[in-house]
Amino acid sequence: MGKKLNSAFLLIITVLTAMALLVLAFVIFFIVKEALPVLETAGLSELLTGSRWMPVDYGTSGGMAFGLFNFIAGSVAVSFLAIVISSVVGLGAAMYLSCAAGERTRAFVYPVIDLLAGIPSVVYGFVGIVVMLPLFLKAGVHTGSCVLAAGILLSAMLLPFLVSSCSDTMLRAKECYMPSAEAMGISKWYAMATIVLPASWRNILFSMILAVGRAMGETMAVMMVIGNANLFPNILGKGETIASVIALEMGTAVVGSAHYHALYMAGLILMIIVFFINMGIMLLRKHLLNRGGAGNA
Amino acid sequence: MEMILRLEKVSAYYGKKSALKEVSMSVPKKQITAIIGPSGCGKSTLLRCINSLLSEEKDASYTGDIFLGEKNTRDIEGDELRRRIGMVFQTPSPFPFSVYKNMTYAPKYNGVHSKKELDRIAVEKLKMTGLFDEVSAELDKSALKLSGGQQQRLCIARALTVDPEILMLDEPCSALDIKSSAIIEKMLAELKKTYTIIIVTHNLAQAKRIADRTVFMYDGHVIEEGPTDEIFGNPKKEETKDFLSGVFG
Repeated sequence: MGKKLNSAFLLIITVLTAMALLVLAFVIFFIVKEALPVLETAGLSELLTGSRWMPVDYGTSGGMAFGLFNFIAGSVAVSFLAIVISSVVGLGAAMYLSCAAGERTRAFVYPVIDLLAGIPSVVYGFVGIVVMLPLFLKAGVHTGSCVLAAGILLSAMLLPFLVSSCSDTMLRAKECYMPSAEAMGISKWYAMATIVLPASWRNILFSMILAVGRAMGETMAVMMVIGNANLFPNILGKGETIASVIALEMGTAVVGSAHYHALYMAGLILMIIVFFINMGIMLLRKHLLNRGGAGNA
Repeated sequence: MEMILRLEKVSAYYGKKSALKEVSMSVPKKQITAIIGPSGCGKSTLLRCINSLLSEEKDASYTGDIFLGEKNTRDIEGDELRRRIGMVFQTPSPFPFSVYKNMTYAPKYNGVHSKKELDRIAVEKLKMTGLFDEVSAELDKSALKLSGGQQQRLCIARALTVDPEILMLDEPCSALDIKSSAIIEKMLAELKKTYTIIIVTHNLAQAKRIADRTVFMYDGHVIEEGPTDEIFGNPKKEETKDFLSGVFG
């Protein structure tokens, strides 16, 4: 009886795992299936390198065009800015929390930072419009909407995850290596910079991968402050990301039209970009792992 | 017998909780002193008082006086004191660098930059711990790839790179197998020619094998101290007898 129960249980959890994989497979299959028909209207090179986006034929000269290049560049630029900003701030905060702050400060600050993660992205966007854009406007940016605003906003959204994962990693490294270093008379901050930080580097990279995934896909907040103009992203100019073009246009695209398929293609490209970025960082991490943290001995 | 370290009425507190109660004891130069006693009796706290790591902790403090040679340790800068009194912990914790970089980390911090001198220190201390023959071909291999016993010996060698006068070991063998423990015991017997050694151990047989002098602690007090043979062969206090015969522990 016990044996039967065991195998029944095993079967159930296997099926549940398979379901999770199936969902992923289905999503990928569906997106690819809906994306491919656009290739009948536009070639891959036009999609990737073209910068004219005219998905519906209004009878204007030049007809329809499906250039996604500016959107791709927009997504990459905003994500890059956000990762840079939030990594700098996040690493500083993580160092403070893991090494300078006491147990009590940590117990207070952790949950507060986690609260940032609980704020819906539309609220971030709203705060961005009301607080940040007027500042950019005052600084001389037309309409205030710009790529930098989106990057800053997005970095705030990535911060809680980066801070908590980096400070956890650094706290563990500190607990492991700091006593030995201190016991040799090494000063705390020297040991911090030369042992704890290098030892945590791999996990910090890993946190950054996960953050990139989030940044590339983040739609609402970015859409609210970036201006949504089909332009090549300029730090103080307007831009548009893949995620925002999909969100803005999917509702009006006629099902089965070239426009509709092109938006799916944009989604597919976004997925592939995130996949390659993750792969790249994963390889880098593996490379570091193989060196076994041997450093530059 | 020359005493290198002397504790006078040392009491330690974590917040309001007292962990050491008026401990007085002394440690003879170039001998092995073992500190034994049940868990939570204050052995590790005692070590942390000696190298003053305790004062770096929040809410922890100690009173009383500790003399290193003739000098009160309160008059010695914390980092300087810890350079002179090394410490190795229970869990082997090599830094995540190569073996060589582990060995040169502290000397570099202390201002040694000539490659020749760094090499000399690394080789000398690795030889002292008997590790050199085992790792000489792979000094630039990650220290994390060594076996547990080798890692612990590397930690001991690393602690020696700053040339401490006293080496304190906090249960250095409790995470290791019997064979690795035996190698470390043999090594400590060699090291005492050069260094004074204080070892906290749970393993009574180990204390009996390697220590010249044994200190028995219980509930924050030093109950009894003396030559190892006497403590094990002819303990005078009731608590010591009970502990050694396994009544508690």
